[in-house]
Amino acid sequence: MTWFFKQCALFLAIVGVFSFSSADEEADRKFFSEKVFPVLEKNCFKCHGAGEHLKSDFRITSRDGLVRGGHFGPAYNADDPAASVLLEAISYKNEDYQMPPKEKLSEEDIMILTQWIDSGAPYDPSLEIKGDAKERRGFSVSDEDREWWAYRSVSKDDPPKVKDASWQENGIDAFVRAQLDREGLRPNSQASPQVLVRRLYYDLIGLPPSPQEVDSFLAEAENDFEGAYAALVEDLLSRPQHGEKWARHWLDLVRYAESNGFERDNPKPEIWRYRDYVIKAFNENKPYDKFIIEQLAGDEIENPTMDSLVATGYHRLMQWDDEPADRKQHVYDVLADNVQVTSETFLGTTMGCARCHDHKADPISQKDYYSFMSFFTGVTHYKTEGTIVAWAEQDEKASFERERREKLKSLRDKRERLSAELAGFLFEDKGDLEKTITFVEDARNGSTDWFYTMEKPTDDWSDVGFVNKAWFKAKGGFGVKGVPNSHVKTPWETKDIWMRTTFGLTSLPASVTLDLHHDEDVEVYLNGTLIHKASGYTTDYESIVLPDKALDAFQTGKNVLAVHCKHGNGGQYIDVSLKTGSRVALVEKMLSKKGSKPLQWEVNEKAGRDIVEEFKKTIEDIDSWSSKEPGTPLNVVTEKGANPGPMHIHLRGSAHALGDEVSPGVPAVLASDNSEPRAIESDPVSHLGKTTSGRRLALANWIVDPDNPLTSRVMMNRLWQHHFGRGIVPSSSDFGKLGEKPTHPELLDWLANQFVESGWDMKAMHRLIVMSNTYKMSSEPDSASLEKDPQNNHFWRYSMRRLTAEELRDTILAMSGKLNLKSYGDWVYPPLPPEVLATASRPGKGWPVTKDESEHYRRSLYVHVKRSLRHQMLADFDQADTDTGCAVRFSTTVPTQALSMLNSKFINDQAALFANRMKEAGDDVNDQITSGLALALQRQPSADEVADLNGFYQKLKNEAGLSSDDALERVALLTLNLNEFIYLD
Amino acid sequence: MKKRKKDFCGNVNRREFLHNVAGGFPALALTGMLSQDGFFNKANASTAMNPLASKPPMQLGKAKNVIFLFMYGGPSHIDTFDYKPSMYGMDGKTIAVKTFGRGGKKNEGRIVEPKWKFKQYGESGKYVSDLFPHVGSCVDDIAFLHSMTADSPIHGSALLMMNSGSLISGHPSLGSWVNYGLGSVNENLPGYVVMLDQSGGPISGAKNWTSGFMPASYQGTVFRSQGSPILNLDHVNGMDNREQRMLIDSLNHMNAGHLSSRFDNTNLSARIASYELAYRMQSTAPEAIDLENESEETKSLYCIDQKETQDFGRKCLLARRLVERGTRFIQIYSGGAHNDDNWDAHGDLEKNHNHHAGSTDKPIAGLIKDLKRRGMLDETLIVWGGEFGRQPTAEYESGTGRDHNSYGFTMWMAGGGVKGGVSVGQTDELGAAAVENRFHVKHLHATILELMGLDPNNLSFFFGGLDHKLVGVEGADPIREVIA
Repeated sequence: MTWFFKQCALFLAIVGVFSFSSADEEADRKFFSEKVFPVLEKNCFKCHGAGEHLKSDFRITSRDGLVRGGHFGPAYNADDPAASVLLEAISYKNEDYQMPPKEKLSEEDIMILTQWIDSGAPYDPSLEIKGDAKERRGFSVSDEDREWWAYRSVSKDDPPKVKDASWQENGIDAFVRAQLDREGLRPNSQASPQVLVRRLYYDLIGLPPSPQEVDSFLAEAENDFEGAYAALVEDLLSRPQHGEKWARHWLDLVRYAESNGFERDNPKPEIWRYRDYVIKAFNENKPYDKFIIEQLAGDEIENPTMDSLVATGYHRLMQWDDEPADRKQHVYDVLADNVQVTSETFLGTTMGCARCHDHKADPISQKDYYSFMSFFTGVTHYKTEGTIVAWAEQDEKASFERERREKLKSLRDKRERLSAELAGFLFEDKGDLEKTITFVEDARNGSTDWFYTMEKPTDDWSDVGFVNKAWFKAKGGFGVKGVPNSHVKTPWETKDIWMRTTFGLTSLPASVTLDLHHDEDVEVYLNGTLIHKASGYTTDYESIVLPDKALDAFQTGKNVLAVHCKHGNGGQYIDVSLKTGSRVALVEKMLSKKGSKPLQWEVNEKAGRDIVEEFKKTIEDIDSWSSKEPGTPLNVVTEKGANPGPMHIHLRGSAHALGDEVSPGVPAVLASDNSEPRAIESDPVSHLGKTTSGRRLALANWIVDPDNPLTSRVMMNRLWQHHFGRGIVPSSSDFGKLGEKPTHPELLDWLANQFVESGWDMKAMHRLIVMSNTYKMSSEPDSASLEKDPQNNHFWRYSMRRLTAEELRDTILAMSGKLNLKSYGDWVYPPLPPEVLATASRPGKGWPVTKDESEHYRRSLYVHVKRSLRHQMLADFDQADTDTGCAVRFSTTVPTQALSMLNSKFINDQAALFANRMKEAGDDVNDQITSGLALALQRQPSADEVADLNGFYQKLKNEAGLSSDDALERVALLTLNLNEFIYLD
Repeated sequence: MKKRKKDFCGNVNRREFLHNVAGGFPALALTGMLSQDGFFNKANASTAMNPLASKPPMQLGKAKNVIFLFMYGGPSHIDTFDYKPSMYGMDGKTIAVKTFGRGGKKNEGRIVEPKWKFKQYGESGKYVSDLFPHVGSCVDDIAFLHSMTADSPIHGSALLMMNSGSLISGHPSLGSWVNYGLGSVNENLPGYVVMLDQSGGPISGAKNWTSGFMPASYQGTVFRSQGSPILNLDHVNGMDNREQRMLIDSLNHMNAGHLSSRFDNTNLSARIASYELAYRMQSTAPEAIDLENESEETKSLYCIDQKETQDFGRKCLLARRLVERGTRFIQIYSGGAHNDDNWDAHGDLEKNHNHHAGSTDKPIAGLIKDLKRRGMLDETLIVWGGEFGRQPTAEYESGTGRDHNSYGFTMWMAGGGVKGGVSVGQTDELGAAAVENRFHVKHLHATILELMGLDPNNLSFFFGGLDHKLVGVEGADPIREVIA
């Protein structure tokens, strides 16, 4: 506010005071009670003071309330009454807050309120409804808040001494036993080696042991149980399947998915590398602090590696709408999603509520929230394809590009020659070749109008919904004269150009050719999807036949073609056309798998097989050279540059209603001695030719500081949870006041200390837990203990658990012998039932079943995670939803699970294969049944059990008239449905 | 956040609930908790193992079931139920009007006058266009909401909003909330059923009937009107009932042996029981879609005998049969896939709407009349509408196509405790935006929950540190004007 206005405001305030003390007071009172009050009472009171709920924390029924205001700040502005929030709201000018929401006030009512506000908003005290005196929106962190168990420093206390020293394998047992003694509970006895071997396999690698593995463990355990057990633990921890099992738990937390969601639900290319990073980190026992730093800021650390870059795919996992109703708001929706996942995953703190107002239960203020969000504001907004960065050494790149240019030139010439030759055989009527439809014309043939800019646009510039405000319009053929074979229509002399044009389609084209002349690097997008990319320059127009994958980007109605060309040295030029057909495209289509078979035979006959094969090979070579990148493409985080720009508090969570400016900082309750967030300083860093703010690294360093009371507690609690079925803190991503308190707080602290002291060694912690006697207890019921502690809150026994969705599917595949244990790599698309595919708006699209059948039997972790199309069986068995982080999965029991386990094609196919394996035990059906049960239950079945199944088998044969083979298949199916098969002791 | 009245999941118990559900004691925890809260009577032993077991409502509600007729793509309100007499004769005029659709925000446009005539119907004299003459004959049972608004004019997010109250996916859908609050009265059929259009699902597919952060037990089940209604209901290799009975008997026997030394584990017994439920579902579900016992007169009331209407008519009749069998929430999509396969009339408005109204008008009227004569309409709430409406102006330089409009549109409700023959709210004289008595999607949701006997501002589910409600943190009041 300028000095002048300040003086005016002061003047107005004085006038206000005078008016109150003068005879006008009575007039004010009258005006209020007769004119203003009825309007307020009718339209505002219900939500703002007189009703049950106080919306926006705003009370209009008293002057105090009016002046204090609500989430949008004071409703009355004494300095400048005309600018009062109240008047803006009733004017309906701001789309974000129009009051009253149901309908705009009449002009007369607006006049009354305006006059009232202008005159200083006097009330008639007898009509005021005052609120609770405590009703204040001020935020402060109290000592009591700081004393909350999760925010206190981790205690360094040693394990207690307990009477029964024999039960103490390690510190865990001391804590658990002490509590059991205190509660008058007895620990269960140790489970049998038979039970333990199964438990260990599932907990450490998520798969069952084979009967041979069980037998050899039991044989060794007979002589030396301790030795055999320890050896088995080491063996399992070193298997590649260990990382796969534990990666799944982590991926739940970060709501890992491989598509964007919403209308197009496009895949996130290369994002599987992040999944592989997690698996590898667990397999290689990467220290947990390093694991955190790399995910948050693997691009900002000293000497980033390909691995540490891949880890930052962490920032690219969320759902993303390419066509949001409110673009600005959506940018922050995405950031908010990352704030939530980061605070819950690493800190067990739910910050989400503080996005709209101070947290109502936990001592987290809105300022804390937006200060925390500031760590991420430098991150570039998501794009359809994510942000792909190629990982390669510099000289590797240059020589590669030279080679590629030469190769492609000669291959394209060859293709032209061969297609001309083949066309002679393929097309009787040469007219077919002329019937191309041009969507976008290039400068050789008349050109097209383009919108273009040379200023870097926002990240969404290639999306359909992008509004190219302030772009220029001109004819295509941009560049400078002198570039060979160019047809310059519009000058372009800068470094970059971005261009967009549109065309309409009533039906989708079967084949499309892109003619392109570029100097230099070019990216071509259709409807936000990258359909072609080339680096370096061309010396003439080159025809690119778009692959089928690119054709998927076309849509009926409006299409947007968007091109970005980046210039390096020499003259610049960019021009593009897009049309159906072209001779090359038509010939290619006809000779493809989808082409007419009789025609292909005819061509083979007339032209000879050799030329046809040579043509096909040339096409393949062009495709492979075009898509080849120097180096490995990674979908990772990128930042806008050194300075992300200012960040403000968003009033009521709206990106359009800005409050105070904030800077990067962490919640006050965790790190500062007052109620303000603690600022975390950072400096920009430059690696690999890119500059970032350095903020994420600063945050990561604060999180992994050994003095941070949450990080180690939260992670040790998660390890405990997945070994014992529940965390010491059952709400494992919420250590706040709405969460549950730890059942064994001292044990949790001791574990957290062990973790930090071990150098954040994950495998050491697994070892510590599974070696304890607490872990080795049996799950059997004990009447006395059940009576005192039916929920097993004190860990007097091991809790039975159901296999997870993935463990169940993987185990079924292990039974059938189909399980493919190949580790790492691109996702796979196993077949889905047609009924499930039919629920999509483009049934079957976006789920191209993987050709190699053996890939269908990979572990469930490798099945493509598409947000709008879930794998039905995995979903039925409570696989985590991927839109929000999931710390604890549900475990439901519903009839649809039974239907899937009895009737689905998958289960019956696997049961048939399982039956075949059972037959390997010999011709005697009892042997077959015995071998099946041993495989499924990982123990030798009793004679009664075998007899029961044999009875079922005979009944099927005798009463239902089934063949031996069919009857055995049903036996196999029954075995896969046993409770013992899917529950662990 | 100390004490709240009538909190659905009371503070202390709510946490316990979450722990227990996650830890594997879903139903016991739920029923135990709810009876402690005083809302629910103690569930009997047979339902204790099923999270979907029927629960009495929180308060008195008239409706017991909902049939949501989802006009996917966005029907044009000014061509159907929102009569704008002053627009006739204005065709082609360019006027200043604020619009926001897939083509972005605009400040002026060319008027496309309503392409159908309106007539008055019933005692209420409600104007309805010639697209819906048969629905017109039911207006005295219908409450029209002419001032609906939504936050997005883009299909993907708008569908999510209409179905789950949020523009961002991951939130439970309306049907999940109803089943979470009330359970299903028939364990042998799903409590939440979705019937899709022949042309395909809506954009985002299963996200529209997801249970989001709630357990999967509350998600919608896709129900097919012909063949095998539910996924995996038929054995893939044709195992018959007798054989399956043998299998389940033997399985039960062996599972009983396993249970004997683990007697305290209710999950194991719940799983045994779930096979019986599944077995029964295999006969109850096909029976539900078997129309053999329906009279010819009934079938023709739904117009199953006419080519154009037979698919939607069949689904409407199935909806009635499912209501009779206790399914709480049924959603039927008119329109699927993309463009003109649904109500998304960007090109030729007349062709599009004639087609979609033509295939739904008679079946919808048939459904209302059939429910009424059977005395079921009082307890069955019918909701009609799309994710948004359409603009009064043309989308392109030529043609009649209209772009999306979330500033104002019409939905209607009938039965289930709703007043008949009333209309609330208004759009401006062009139908461009709601101006009087504006309602948001969350008010519609609040009204549906209220009519079902659930308190919209107290029905909550604790997740991610927050008591989530379908109507949002701030809550929303039901539209009292339409509640009888």
